[in-house]
Amino acid sequence: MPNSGDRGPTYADIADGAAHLIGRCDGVLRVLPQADEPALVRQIRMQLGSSDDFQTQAVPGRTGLWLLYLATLVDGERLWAEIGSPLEEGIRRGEKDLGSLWPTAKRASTATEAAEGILGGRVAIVFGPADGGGCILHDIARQPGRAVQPPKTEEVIVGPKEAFVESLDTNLALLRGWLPDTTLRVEIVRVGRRGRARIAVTYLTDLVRPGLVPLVLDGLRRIRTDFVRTDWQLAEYLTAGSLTPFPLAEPTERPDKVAQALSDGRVAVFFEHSPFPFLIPTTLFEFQTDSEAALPGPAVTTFARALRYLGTFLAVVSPGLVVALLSANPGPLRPELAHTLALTRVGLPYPVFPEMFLMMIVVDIFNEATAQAPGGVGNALSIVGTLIIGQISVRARLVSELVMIIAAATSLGAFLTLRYQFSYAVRIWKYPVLMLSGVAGLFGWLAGLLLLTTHLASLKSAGVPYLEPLAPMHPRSLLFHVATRHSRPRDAQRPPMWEAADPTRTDPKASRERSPGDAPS
Amino acid sequence: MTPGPFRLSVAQAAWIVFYLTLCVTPFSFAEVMIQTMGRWAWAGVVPGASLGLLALGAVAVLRHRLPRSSVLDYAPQLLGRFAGWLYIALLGLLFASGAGANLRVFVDMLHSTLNSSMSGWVPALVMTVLTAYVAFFGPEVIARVATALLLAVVPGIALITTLPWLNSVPGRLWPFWTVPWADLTRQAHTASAIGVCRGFLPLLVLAPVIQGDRFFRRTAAAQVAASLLIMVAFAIPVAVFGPHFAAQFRFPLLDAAGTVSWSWLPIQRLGHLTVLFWQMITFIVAATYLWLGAAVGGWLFLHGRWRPLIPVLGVVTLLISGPLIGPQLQKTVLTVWNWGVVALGMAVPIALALAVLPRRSAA
Repeated sequence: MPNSGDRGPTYADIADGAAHLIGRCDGVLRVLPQADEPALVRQIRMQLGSSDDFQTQAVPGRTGLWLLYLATLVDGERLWAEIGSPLEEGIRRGEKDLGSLWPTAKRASTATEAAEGILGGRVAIVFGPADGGGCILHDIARQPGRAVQPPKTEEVIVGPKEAFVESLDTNLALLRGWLPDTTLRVEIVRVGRRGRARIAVTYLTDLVRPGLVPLVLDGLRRIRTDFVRTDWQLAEYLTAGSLTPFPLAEPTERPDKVAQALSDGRVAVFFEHSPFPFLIPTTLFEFQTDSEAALPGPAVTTFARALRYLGTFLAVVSPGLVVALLSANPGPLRPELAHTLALTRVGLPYPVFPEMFLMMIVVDIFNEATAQAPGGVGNALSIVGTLIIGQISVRARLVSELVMIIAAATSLGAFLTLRYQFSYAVRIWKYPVLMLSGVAGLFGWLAGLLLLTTHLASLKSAGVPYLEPLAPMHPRSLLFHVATRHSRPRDAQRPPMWEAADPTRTDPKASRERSPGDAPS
Repeated sequence: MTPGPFRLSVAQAAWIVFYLTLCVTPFSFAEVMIQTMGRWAWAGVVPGASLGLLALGAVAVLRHRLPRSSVLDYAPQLLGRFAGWLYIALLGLLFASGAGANLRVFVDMLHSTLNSSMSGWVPALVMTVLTAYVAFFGPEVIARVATALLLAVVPGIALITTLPWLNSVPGRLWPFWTVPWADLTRQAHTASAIGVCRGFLPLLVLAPVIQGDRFFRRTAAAQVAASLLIMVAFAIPVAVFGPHFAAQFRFPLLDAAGTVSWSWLPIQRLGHLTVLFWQMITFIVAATYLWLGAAVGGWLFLHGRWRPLIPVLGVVTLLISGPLIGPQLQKTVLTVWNWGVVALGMAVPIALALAVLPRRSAA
């Protein structure tokens, strides 16, 4: 330690390895040593600085015994019940090895490790020479946060109604409740030079694709930033900052969804402070497959999925198609239909292309305002939008009824996707298709779709093509995973795009032969 | 030469073969078939498919004997350094001009159907930019796009070519033993049939990155399937409606389909929409040729780096496909191009395959 005279160590004296724990110091930090303070306590104090919630207490009755903790992070009742009271009793009994009072406590071998533990809500108990020296960390972190609640973004009508919360430990407990499997692994890394958020990478060792976990962990360890605030920021780092509006990681707040994904051979990445872990890899079609696992039978699932695909497809293509047919290529239309559509445009002051373009902009503005506004204001905005845009605009002959219908269908179709983030991609991509249609008619409309197809074909999520199992084509998976699904007894194969180490899910013959009343073999 | 870190499955390679076989130059094929064979125009696909299988067999032999090599590697070794380099340079020219040649035909088709008043530069520019965009990602993405579009292309062409049956006399196809088979050996037929078997050309360059077994069977199936679709697409309506009807129109498929009225849908004439299927097919074909031209050019001039050549070839494609080239010059270019396929894409690979065949018996 450099000689700093009687003023004690200053900020400039702090070792490089501890500098990242000092977040908010300006100028010179003056740390005054206390009498008889062990060197370890002094080092920890220098790392954590002079915050008012940082408490260092010498325990009376035993030389060299200190408690260090952050008062804002620990549970005060547990501090006394689990540390103060046992310590008092142990000292009164003359216990030789006080460390044995906390057999599950983790031992900290360096001041940095101890400081990190304190920042995580643990109490550092530093022992003097009489107790063998060293430091242990006992966890009595206070867990501010909300209780497990129903999911908010993945509505479930019939099915489990529990969703993840902000606490990483609670989320991992929920996951283990769904997957009490000996092969479930959790690997935790810390990300962010200052935020030091815990990221948990979970997978099943006997199913995950070889090389996928090292790929994810390597991506996490290469993150060089001060602070990661949301899981989407984390996903951006893992996807190498791709510019596509399509999400390359699949967020979910449902433990059952994560459990299913892990059993398919995928990886779930949990971000501390976020109730939305994301699944890697993912494909375009995962954002359309239902999370309503309780839908009865393949027929209902197929119907629901067909509606989603159709709605999403119409949301992208219908504005451009209408513009192409009305403005540039009316030839394919039957005379009766062409006449009816022409009548809807009588008296309108501008062509269909600027009309459609402006209406799409206005609808997106209202959608965005409604989504961002608080509950009551959002409802009022919806009413305003319906009245002003819907009725008054048409009555004033500013827009035609057909364009209003298309705008409504587009807006509904964009939100048919099961993930909010995916709807943005759908809403964004209708504009290039619309503009190309306005320029070149039906030819331009299809050129826009070819552009979109190429963009989707160029995307990969952790090495898996985004359009799989369509391209590369796996006919069986395309039929039984995308278009519809097997009945559960026949669902024997895991989706091939995840390249699970074991592609077989179950023995379909045994599943079919067993009657509901039989005990599982 | 391994053209980048790509990995194509045999199925993906087969789909590329399918598209390139399907994209037959309409006027040279249909006009010749109709004029010489009349109602038996459908039989003109047979020479093309047969020749295609022969050339495909040569490619399969080369891939099997020289598994980690493309034509860019073994041509100089087998033909000699000068001849090999000359062959590769001509192959590169063939590929580099292929996109423009195909796009020009499509632009003409577009003008006669959907947008007769639009300047020819607009579709030429739009399609060139699109194909350059997809070519920039390489054959893996081209193959994925080709696979994704299959679900629209194949059902679409099959559907619109069955429409004439609603208003037709199927018995005009029979009997098969009256087909004038001898007429199929005419030079004009052969030249047109070559257009059917061009699909395997990319395999010469892509051979080392195609992974999987059953190579010949799958790509042969794709080539034959495309040939059959051509037969369905072009020749059956001709056979059904008769050559006098089809000879009046440049694109008999389009107008034959257009005579059928879809009473239960709000679409009056489907003819306008059939060009959209050709747009999808041309997109894949032009992108493939753009990439091949860049890959070969990169090997020749840029030490294997091919991406910088994509925009350069895009300009060449735009010039060839735009209105600068008149109909006569276009016809000459396409004829030279088709014969280039014969020489560079069939004769030389067959010769190379024969050269490497004895190696196994020698070993």
